[in-house]
Amino acid sequence: MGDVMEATLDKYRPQVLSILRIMAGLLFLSAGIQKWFAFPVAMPAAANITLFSMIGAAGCIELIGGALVAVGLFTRYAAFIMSGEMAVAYWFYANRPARGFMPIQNGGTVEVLFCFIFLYLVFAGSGPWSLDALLRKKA
Amino acid sequence: MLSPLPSSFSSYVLSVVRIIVGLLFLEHGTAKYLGFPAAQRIPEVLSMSGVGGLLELIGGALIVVGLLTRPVAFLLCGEMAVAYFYAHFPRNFFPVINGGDAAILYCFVFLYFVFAGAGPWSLDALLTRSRSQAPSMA
Repeated sequence: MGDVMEATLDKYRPQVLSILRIMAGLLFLSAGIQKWFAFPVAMPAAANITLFSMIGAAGCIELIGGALVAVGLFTRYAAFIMSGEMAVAYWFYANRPARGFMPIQNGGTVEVLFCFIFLYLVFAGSGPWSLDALLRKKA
Repeated sequence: MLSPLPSSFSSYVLSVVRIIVGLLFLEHGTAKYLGFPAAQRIPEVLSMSGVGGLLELIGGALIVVGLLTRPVAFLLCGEMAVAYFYAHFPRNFFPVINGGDAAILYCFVFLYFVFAGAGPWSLDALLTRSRSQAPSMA
């Protein structure tokens, strides 16, 4: 019985990968929207955001990368860059000596989660519910 | 387009992601009950956060070593869904405002572990291998 259940779970694994990809992409995109468009509420650190600042660049990656990953276009490339951005965000902004080394102390849990989920997407791809899959079928 | 990376790599990365997510999750349990790394007020065991802390402690440890991954991940996915709708959603609809990003991510990552399993670097994989080898050893 356990084997039958595992076989069923394995069968739908690619679809659940797509679901995970969509949710992570949308959450990431909403972070970028908050930085650049102050929706739904303005972020204090992004009050005077400019294109060539750290936070401006982060916002751009979040906007464009988040949208790409949410629809599943160029997923592996976008996810690679977003994973790197989260690593930079964790090691340079969250993980400061004053706040402590562990993510629960420095509030960097979300960065670590995003970083590794996007790293996984680089290797696992976008799953069947994506523009990448559509384009591959047409090719 | 980039040629597809070998799928065997993705299963190892799955194990890496599972270990990291498990450690992050375990942190919250140890903070609640063992005071490490950040001391928190120990919750009443039968309260919402008390039960959540137990799930984080035991469930997190099981996810890290990759034992009983699919059922434990299913439980933790449910716990995170409850946590989001109980603690975050009432505050505001938007995750950026209600601080529920991590809960949502945990929920969907654990949902994926239910379907994907633990990957090769896990006790589950070790036990599956030993079980399939046992008949030939007899």
